[in-house]
Amino acid sequence: MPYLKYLTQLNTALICTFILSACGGGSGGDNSRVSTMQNVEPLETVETIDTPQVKEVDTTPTAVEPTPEPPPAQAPMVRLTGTITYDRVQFDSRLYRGLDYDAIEQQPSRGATVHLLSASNTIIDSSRTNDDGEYSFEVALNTSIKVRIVAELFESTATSGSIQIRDNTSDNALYVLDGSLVSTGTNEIQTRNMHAGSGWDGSTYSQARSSGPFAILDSLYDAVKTVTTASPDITLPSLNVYWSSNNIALNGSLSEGNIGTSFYTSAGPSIYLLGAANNDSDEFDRAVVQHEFGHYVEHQLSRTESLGGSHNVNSLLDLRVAFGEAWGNAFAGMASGDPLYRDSLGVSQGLGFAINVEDRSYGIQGWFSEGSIQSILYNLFDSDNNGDDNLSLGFKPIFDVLTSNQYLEHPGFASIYSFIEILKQQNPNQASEITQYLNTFDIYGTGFYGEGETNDGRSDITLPVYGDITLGQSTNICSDSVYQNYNGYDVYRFLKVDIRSTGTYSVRAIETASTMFTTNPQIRIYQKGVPQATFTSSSSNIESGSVNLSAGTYIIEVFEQANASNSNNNAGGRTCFDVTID
Amino acid sequence: MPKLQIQTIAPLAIIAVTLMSLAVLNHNQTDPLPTVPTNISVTSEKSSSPSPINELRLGKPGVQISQVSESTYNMEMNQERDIEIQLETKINSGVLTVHLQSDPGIDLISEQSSWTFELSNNQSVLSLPVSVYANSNGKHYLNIFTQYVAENGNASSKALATAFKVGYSQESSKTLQKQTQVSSQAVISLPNTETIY
Repeated sequence: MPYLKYLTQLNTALICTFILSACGGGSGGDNSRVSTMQNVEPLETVETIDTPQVKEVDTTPTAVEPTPEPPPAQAPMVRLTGTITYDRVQFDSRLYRGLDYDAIEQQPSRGATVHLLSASNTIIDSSRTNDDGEYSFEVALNTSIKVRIVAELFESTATSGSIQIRDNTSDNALYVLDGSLVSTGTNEIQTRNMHAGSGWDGSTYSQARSSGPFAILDSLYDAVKTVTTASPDITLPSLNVYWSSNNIALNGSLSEGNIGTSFYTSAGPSIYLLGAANNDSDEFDRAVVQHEFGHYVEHQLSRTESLGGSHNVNSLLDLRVAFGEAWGNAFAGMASGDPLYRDSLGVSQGLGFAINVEDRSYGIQGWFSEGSIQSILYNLFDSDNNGDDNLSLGFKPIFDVLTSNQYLEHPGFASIYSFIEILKQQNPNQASEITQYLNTFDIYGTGFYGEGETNDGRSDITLPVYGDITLGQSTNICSDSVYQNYNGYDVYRFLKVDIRSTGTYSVRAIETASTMFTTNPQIRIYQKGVPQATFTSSSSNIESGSVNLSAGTYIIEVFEQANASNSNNNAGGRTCFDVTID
Repeated sequence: MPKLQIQTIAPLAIIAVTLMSLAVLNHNQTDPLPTVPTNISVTSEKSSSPSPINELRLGKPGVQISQVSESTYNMEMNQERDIEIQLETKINSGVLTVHLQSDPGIDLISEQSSWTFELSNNQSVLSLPVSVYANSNGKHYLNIFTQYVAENGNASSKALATAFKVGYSQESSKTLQKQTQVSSQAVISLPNTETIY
């Protein structure tokens, strides 16, 4: 059972139990509970406490299982309950603008870990907030405790990790909200609500931006729920999400906040999010958070061979990058139910741009287009058949393809072709319609390798998507970087080779023509997206090497190093090679 | 659980920078990515045959533009400095607007703070000459906001920044590095409003 669903049900069950116990009956869920709580008489004096910001070292490991002390037999207990909320700054209604600080909403913090701590900061009990941001415990009377809300979504199984929001510029510390250490008193019910404010004073962030980590957590809550609803038994590996108000769009030391941009990284795995006010901050940019979580899903639960690098929906991208980035954008729409991807930046976070992942109006369409593929994925998912499609598969069939053995074991790269091929196999009644729909995006290739593709994206070297090469024969291919270096659609060329018997094979790429004075061909051999051999010496005009391969299908990737440069967009040019393997 | 099948490749320069950064940071992360399978022997006839990259980084969408000039300058308080910010893009059509906005610790004293470029094949490096004045010690940023509008009308943006370390000594840099040791035990208790009744 997925942990969030389980815990939500658990919380609901506990709440219902308490309501029935306290009020002698009733039906309904959380709403009835809330109204019951509000009717409890007599109310004690309301105590509102603005707790100071304290950075402390918690001497108790946060992952320690709580060890609640059993209460004395029939001892009267207090139901300690409360609601956790945070400020979410909404976007301006104008799509070309950023955040609107006149539109701050208090929203429930869902799925957050709640600890009850003793005076010595020992965890007495733990739970998590439900979909309304509510938590509940039974605790002894007259006990001094404090409530700690941890910016953490936790897994329910022993093998699963947690998703935590941490500060990369403060020793990777975990964000929490601490309540005050006060007695549980003698009443039947004690309520402790906590709210994390935005820190915005009307013109600037003059106070701590406490709601930031909890806004991120809440965006992730929807993303996690999307996945666990489709696949209740899925195991999510631990994920650290690093956010800091120091995180700025400047490359350098991560611990100093110079993260360059918001990104997912396999190191950890982790997500780093921008947070620098008046530069670029993403804690309220729901789609950015979920886009990066989409990368985590693809990387950790499925597969990706994306190269990363700079990209947008108008780009002409390597097919691996195009699919991965399109997936990130589409996943954000799927997780939120909102096809608008919005990103705020600038002075007072007032600038921004929007991408509608339903639209097909981004750049040249085709297998190399992040814009085309995001639209395909989202429109396959959504039930809004906006005249563009009649397909409404929902999330599960899409996720089933991405996690299928067939997808994971496919010898070529993860791409729109392999995804669609398996999707059609798993949904045969809609295969024809899916094919026709792809054709409307100028994607005509079929099968795992895009055989028969005719859309070259206005380049004369990009087709076939995968060329064929046979042992002992030479094939000429060309690499270029007309639209962009590093991850452009014409930089890397793929040759598919079938190896019939285990043995040592030699591979060579020899330059035959180039616009450059000296070339530096590079070769990598892949199977199932995993490099099997890498030949990337700096020798001029030729590259070669040998590798022991077992029987199977392999992809030989050949490219000119200057075209693959990520540091010099002026480098490179049209370069052709004769490639042989024998 | 589905099997992890991930690898990625990137230029050696990126690998080196990444590894150096991680080493400096004492980044306490382990990389889950598989390396070249051990049951497959790999030989190269060349001197260089590096292992596949160990870290995959996937960023958010934005304008395909990068800053190629220095991203950090050291200054003294009350000092004035002329610099040239250089941005590089391979986008060859559409219009790019760049706007600069300084943090309070520095003043942008040159007259021009916004530029508009009609992009073409002939211009990939965009130069922005500016003068700044340091009015207080500390680390301050000159924020660079780019907005690109493609010929089809689609817009995207990207923020960049240049840092100015004003009055920074070698000693303060060492202290800063020393303070950034990784500790998984620390928490940051954020201010909040608690209501008890």
